[in-house]
Amino acid sequence: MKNLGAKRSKIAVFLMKHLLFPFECEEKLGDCDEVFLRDFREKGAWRARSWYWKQVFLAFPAFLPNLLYWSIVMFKNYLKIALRSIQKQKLNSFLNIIGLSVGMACSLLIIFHVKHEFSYDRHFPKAGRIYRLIDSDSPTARGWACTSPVIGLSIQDDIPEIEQITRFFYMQDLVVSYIPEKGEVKRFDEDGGFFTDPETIAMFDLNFLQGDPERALEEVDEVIITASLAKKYFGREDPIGKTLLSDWPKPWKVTGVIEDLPSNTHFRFDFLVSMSTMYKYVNKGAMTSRGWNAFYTYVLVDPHHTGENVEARLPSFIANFDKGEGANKDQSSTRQLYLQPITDIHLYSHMEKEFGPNSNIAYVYIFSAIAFFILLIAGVNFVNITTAYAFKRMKEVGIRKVVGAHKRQLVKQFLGESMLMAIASGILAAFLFRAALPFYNQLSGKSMSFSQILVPQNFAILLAAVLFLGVLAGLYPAFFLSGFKPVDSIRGIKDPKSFAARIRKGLVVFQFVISVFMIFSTVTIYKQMKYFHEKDLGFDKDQIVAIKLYGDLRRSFIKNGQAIKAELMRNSAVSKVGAVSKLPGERCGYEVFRPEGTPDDQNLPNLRYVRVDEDYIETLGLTLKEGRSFAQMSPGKHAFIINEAAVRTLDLKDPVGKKAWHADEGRVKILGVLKDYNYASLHNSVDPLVLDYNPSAANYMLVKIQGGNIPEAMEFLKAKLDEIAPGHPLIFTFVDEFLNTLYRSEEVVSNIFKYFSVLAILIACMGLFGLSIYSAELRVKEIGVRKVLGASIPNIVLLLSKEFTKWVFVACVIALPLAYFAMNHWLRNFAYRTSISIDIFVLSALMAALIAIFTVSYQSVKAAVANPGDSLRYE
Amino acid sequence: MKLLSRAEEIILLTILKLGEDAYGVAIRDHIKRETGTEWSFGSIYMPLNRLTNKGYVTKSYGEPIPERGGRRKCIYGVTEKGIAALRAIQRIQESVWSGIRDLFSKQEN
Repeated sequence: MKNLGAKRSKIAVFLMKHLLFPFECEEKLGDCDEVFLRDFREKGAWRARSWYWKQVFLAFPAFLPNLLYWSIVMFKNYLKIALRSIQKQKLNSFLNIIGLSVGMACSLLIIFHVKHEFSYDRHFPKAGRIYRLIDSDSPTARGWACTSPVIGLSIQDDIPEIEQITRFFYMQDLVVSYIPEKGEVKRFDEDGGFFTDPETIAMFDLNFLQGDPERALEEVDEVIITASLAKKYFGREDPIGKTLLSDWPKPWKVTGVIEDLPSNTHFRFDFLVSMSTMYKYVNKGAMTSRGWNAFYTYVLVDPHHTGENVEARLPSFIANFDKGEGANKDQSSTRQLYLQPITDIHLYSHMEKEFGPNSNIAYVYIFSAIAFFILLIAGVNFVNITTAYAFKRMKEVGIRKVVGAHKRQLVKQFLGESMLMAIASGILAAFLFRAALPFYNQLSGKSMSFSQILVPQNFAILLAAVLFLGVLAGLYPAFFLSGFKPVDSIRGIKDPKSFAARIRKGLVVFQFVISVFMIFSTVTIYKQMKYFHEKDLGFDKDQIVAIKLYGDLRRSFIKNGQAIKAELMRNSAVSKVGAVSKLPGERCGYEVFRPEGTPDDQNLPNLRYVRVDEDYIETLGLTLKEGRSFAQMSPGKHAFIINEAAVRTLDLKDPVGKKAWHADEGRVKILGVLKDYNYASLHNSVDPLVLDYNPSAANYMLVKIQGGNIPEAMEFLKAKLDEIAPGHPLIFTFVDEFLNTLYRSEEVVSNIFKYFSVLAILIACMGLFGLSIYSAELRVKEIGVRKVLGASIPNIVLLLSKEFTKWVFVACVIALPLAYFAMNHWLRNFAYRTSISIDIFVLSALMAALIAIFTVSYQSVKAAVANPGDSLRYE
Repeated sequence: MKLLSRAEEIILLTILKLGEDAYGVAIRDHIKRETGTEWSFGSIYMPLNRLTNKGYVTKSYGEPIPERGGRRKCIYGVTEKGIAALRAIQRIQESVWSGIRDLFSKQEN
């Protein structure tokens, strides 16, 4: 009989044991063994074994219903106990749930933010096959989002894998008006207009609300408009067949109304005019130019091929292409073409002439990290508080074990409890999320609406977050609690020096590492933002109004600029009026600049140009280093003033008085050299710049206001300009405000860091607070004895706070170098940056320490002033 | 009171007959012999569970036995309630069968 085990299949016995429920094992396994043994003797091994296996399979059907039944029975019990223990420890449960739900709400906000960032342009049904053709010229290593008008057409002929191409050309701001047969004229400034090929409609599957998608944009002077634009101009009228007037020679006929594009696309257009219109009115030379990089070109790759297939053929294509007629020889030798998936544009593309500012994948990672860490801090609170107060539940664990609970069951029970907390926090978090969303939108410049987020997929995210947090927070406490030995737990041993206590210390330090890191980062980012606003840009950006010149206003200004300026200057509030083609902060285009005497075969980089009038330099308060300004220039003549960077880049000796060659303007005299000023964002160092005297190219009138009364001056300007161009919509901006928009993405980061670090610290403090109560509770008798022996209250407070302060100190030692490294890395994004000085270190450490001390002091003081009689009475 | 099923009735009667020796394997062997058909353990345990839940049968454990892998026998005994249930089914059976016996014997003749 001893070799009974060897005769049966081990797997069968194992299965049998686990399929049966513990209370039936004794009887049924015994019966099976007995019969097996008898059969084994009488009928042989094979028969006996197959009989035993049969019994195993017969046990299967009853297994699941039984499992379900007992799970429900035990679940009811666990739920009851869990609710009781939540009730019994009100403060801790409160701290846990609040911490978890705030943490979860923060994470949800960021998760949806990140999800929104990643959703860009994925909603186009053919998104996976659409690429943008981009171009880079290597001497400056600059990427261009635009390519020439002809390149798209020939690429389609040369590379058969490309199914379709389409081009977009951006028209600058223009006044568009609708003149109805009766009623008021509708006239607005529009900056969302593009010329495009009819293929756009199919490639991006534009959704037509009205009009025929098959025929739209085919003819000259046709326009399709978005629904919101249709509402703006036509109200309730039917827009189809109506005409819109603009600066272009003929009115545009509306042939389609499309649904507005969602916010998560890199496109920003309000109306699309047929490309044939452009071919009709723009001179042929421009439209066949191979060097005019002004067209966004999108290609649709055949479903059987990939972007890589096509990209591999681009080098040979471009080599061929550049041999063609009209190619820009300067550029062609070094030019390269690439395909960029449209789904990458929003997060990865930072090129010249983007549709608009794009986001940055680095910030997406940073935000994700913040979300994760805040969730982690909240989870840590739960772990700490639960394990700290575990001794309160030791007896329960002991009794359960004595009565026959398996460790597995206890783990399940405690995991279930943390899950319950997580679910409760999840529900609360959903409400917090709802409440915080408008505020967050304002913070991050996003426009997420709650109804958009209310889709089943996102509920899955919430559920995943809840499960993740429940398991993360509950796993360690569950194993810790269920690991108690019944004897110890019933005897009631509390061991402050246990492994769990060490883990707790580690976790608090970890929380403070994150907190200190975030404080440090927030302070540094704040300092950099302040630097952006306060740095001396080399010109005076304050109190300058930039008035957009377009339509009638522009025509009158170009005709009688001097008179208008003189008229405005008559008001004492206006100190100077100048004109310029691009505002400081706007992108200046590249053009050829060849100083006289440069050998013909020498490749020179193109320089950025800005067109100015004679008063521009004085209006901005720029400093001339050499030569003279444009004052006393007569209209129609050209002259250049270059900046120091241009002198350095082209290595010019004594440039003043020499001449330079420009493609359109011929030989132009260099009048002077300007001290470098930051006419672009502080991300980059100052590029070479050419100031070209050309008042007729002005796009903005800059009005420098003196004295404090800006509203009054604005009233005056509005009235005056209305006289000059009656009924013309006035668009103006302040130069300093405009410059601030360059740092929009940094501002979002700054805001998110500011608020989320406060929340992270708050959650960490909640945990610390809970622990401080615990540690005071643990030492209640010690404190009593110390007081009886003559310790003063400050002594006791110090005693209790000392430990926590030590942790914060350790956290600072770990966090500060990390934060310094990370922030230094971040600051390297900017050519002009603040320095991380010692005061940021001291400030962050001090803040963390003060916050920690303040948090624990409530409990320390309470313990210290307590009457020792109360604590020692029962000894 | 709900009537006993046939299987329950057979099992109860077997337990009574086997007395001290009424445990799973023995019950099954006995019934197999009596009825001449194969009875799986399931078809014994299920009614036994029902009977236990109804309070017709008690369970008690014997000594551990090496033949059973060192496990104890689970011995069943019929309670008063069980006897009452058997009586009831017997009475019904007799009244239902009364007269039928004559019919059967006539046919045999």
